Amino acid sequence: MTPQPTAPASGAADLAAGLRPLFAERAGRVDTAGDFPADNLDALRASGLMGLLVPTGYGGGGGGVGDLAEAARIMAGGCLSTAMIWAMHCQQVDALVRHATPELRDELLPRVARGEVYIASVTTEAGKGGRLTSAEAALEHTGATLALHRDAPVVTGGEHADGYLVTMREAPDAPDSRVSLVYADRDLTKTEVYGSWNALGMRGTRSVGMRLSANVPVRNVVGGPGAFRAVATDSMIAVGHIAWAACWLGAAQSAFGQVVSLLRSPNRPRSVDPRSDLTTERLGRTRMDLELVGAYLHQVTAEVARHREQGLSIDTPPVQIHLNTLKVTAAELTYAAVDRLVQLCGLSVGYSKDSAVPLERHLRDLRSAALNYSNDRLLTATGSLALLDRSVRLA
Amino acid sequence: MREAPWPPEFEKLLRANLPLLDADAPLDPGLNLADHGLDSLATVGLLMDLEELLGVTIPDELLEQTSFQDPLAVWQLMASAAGDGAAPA
Ligand SMILES: Cc1cc2nc3c(=O)[nH]c(=O)nc-3n(C[C@H](O)[C@H](O)[C@H](O)COP(=O)(O)OP(=O)(O)OC[C@H]3O[C@@H](n4cnc5c(N)ncnc54)[C@H](O)[C@@H]3O)c2cc1C
Repeated sequence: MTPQPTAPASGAADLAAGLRPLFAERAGRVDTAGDFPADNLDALRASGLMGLLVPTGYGGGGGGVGDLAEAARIMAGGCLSTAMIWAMHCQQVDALVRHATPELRDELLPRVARGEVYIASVTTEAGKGGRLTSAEAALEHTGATLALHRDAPVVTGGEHADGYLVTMREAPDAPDSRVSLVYADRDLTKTEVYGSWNALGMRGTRSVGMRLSANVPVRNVVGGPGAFRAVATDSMIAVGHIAWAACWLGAAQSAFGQVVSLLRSPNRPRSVDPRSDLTTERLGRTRMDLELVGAYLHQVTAEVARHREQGLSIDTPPVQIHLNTLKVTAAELTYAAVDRLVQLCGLSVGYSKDSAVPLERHLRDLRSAALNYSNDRLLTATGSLALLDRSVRLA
Repeated sequence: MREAPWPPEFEKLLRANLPLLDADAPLDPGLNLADHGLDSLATVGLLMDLEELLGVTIPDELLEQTSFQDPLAVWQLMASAAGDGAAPA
């Protein structure tokens, strides 16, 4: 692997389209074996896409959320696990770009741009489950460094990452709402993998359990001590919801395209009549679901991009509602779309592992969407935020 | 002891939303509410309770990230909704 510090922002979609066939070819094996797609990660490192969101001044692509969404959608059409691995890395990079100390940025971002550093995310914790803005394990101040001991039950790509962004309680005597985000370089971190990732879907993400121990310099605190909530609302939640929605859409869109191509081909299952009202109604509904997610993704991505360009905060009830709606809606509609395709295609094409169209894999993969940051949590949050927006400012 | 700028009912409601504040600790005007257990979603319930208690309606435009940072900010938010910057009725 020879990392090439390219400047891919304008060509991110083209680079993603170039990688997609390779990812598609390997997706079945990655899923069956539950293996981390290390070859795909190497290809991503070499492409320059790992540094898409790194500013050009650091040698990165200088891309924005629109470039991210487009590349994620395209790559997910090949392999959803790989696209999510990349999307979550970009989510970490965005947080670093916008909130890391200048020292950490100078040290880390050029390496990210060169494709040398793949960053995994550690937010989930055993006791608190998915609750993002709280933490149990506490940082301990030991002179110039911070000691970090963290149990991390779900870490996508944890075994392969070169660094970790970890949420920790600010100090042993701090309340669990005072969360610090810290960067721990793999070289300086003791890692122990426990448990396996034998999940229904998203098997290539190898989202294993890990124990991390490190002493990190104080400059590695991202966004200031105890101030993770601001990093989450400004960057991690927004970029995560946009990138994940794009990934799920890309997978469902590719499944739909394959089904349409199959129906147009002489190989179509004899039991499916493309002229029947039942078939066309199902196709119509599925297409409409994808249209709605695509349009809303576009709209919310543009809203975040606009706020960023104008230096406006996105920590407002309407924008947070739009971001939550994007995530929940994309999770529900893309899963429903593939579920309907299974019904439309019937047993042999829809349900079999040997089908020419991997609908059963997509179905299992997309089932994770509602869980990967629980839709329930987002729905209740959105309802509360809606009470603060009497004028109902829609996206 | 200096008198608090707010009525006891206000303090009672606020304290009910601060699980991490000891019952006998003072409610300092600059107390960081988030650090004492007021999470961002709990602020919605608190806001509605305060509106009912004080008979005011806070326009959405007045709500900012800093509106619930400490007791004084909350009290001033209520006061501004009462119209002339004076304490709400
Ligand atoms: C493919 C995949 C990859 C992941 N990768 C990572 C990773 O790299 N790093 C990482 O840290 N985490 C990762 N996660 C974990 C993820 O971020 C969430 O923490 C996790 O999915 C939440 O698990 P949970 O279903 O137990 O839900 P929790 O959020 O823990 O909730 C448990 C249950 O309570 C309900 N519930 C909880 N709170 C509320 C509420 N306020 N209102 C309504 N209902 C509520 C939920 O619906 C759920 O049924 C990953 C998850 C998946 C699926």
